[in-house]
Amino acid sequence: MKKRKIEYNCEVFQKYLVEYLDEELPSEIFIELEKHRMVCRECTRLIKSLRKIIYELRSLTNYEVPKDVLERIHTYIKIKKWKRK
Amino acid sequence: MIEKQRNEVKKSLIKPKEEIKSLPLPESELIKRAKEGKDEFFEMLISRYEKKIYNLAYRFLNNEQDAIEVLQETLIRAYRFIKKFQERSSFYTWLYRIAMNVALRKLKRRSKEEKVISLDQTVPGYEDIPQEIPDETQNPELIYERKELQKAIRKALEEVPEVYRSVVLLKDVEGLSNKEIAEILKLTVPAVKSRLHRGRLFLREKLKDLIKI
Ligand SMILES: [Zn+2]
Repeated sequence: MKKRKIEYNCEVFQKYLVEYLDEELPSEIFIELEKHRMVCRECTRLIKSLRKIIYELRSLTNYEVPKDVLERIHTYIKIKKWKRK
Repeated sequence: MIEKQRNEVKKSLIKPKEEIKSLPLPESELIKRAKEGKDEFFEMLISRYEKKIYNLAYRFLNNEQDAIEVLQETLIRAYRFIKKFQERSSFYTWLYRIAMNVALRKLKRRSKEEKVISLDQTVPGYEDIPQEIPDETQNPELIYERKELQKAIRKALEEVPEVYRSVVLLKDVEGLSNKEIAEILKLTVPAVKSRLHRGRLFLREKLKDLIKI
């Protein structure tokens, strides 16, 4: 079989998805992927929806540690140490 | 007797911390002093990460009590083993690794127990979800949509298979790098990427009706 130039289709796009979103692709690959994305509705939607999900994940509200828990843990550590002495 | 111990401990807990608070020390300095057995520095060091670990555990195990236990065990282990921390990785990578190990062990134990008592399971999506503080400056419809999406994301996150969930949490919620995640979970970077990919696609599938694009 002859060596062919990679065809940048949806499958290849998916393969590079993580690196694409991390923006850590070599520019020559990135440019090829962008060329595909610009003509592909599916890959455009995929990227947009994943960006939205990642954004929402990053802005999830944090749970507060119950007030007494931290004090209890710190006290527990101290007592352990105290006992070891 | 125990009461007396506790009081002593409480006194020593509060005082030094307040005295030191005014001078910000670099983390390496805190680590050095914590290793020397100076507890107030250990406390300062971990106070930066307690909430993070709690949230990571909470989201990984979907349960408050388990999250409390993971936090407790993680801090105790960190306290016991800080002298062995060789500073080849960052402190939080080391701490997260302890936390994830504790959490994974808990998960394994729990899945064994669940085989016996499966009626006890909570129905996903019906747990108490902490209320968000809405941004009043925004249009109420948008606030509502956003709230619904956040709710759905929490629920979907609970359903992501654990192998992928740990990676998604560390990457997309905590914002760690692939390399750091690989260290924490003892995986290769390509394995991290592959799990991340699957986890994200899982979330997208679950949320496709809500995300209007
Ligand atoms: Zn495509």
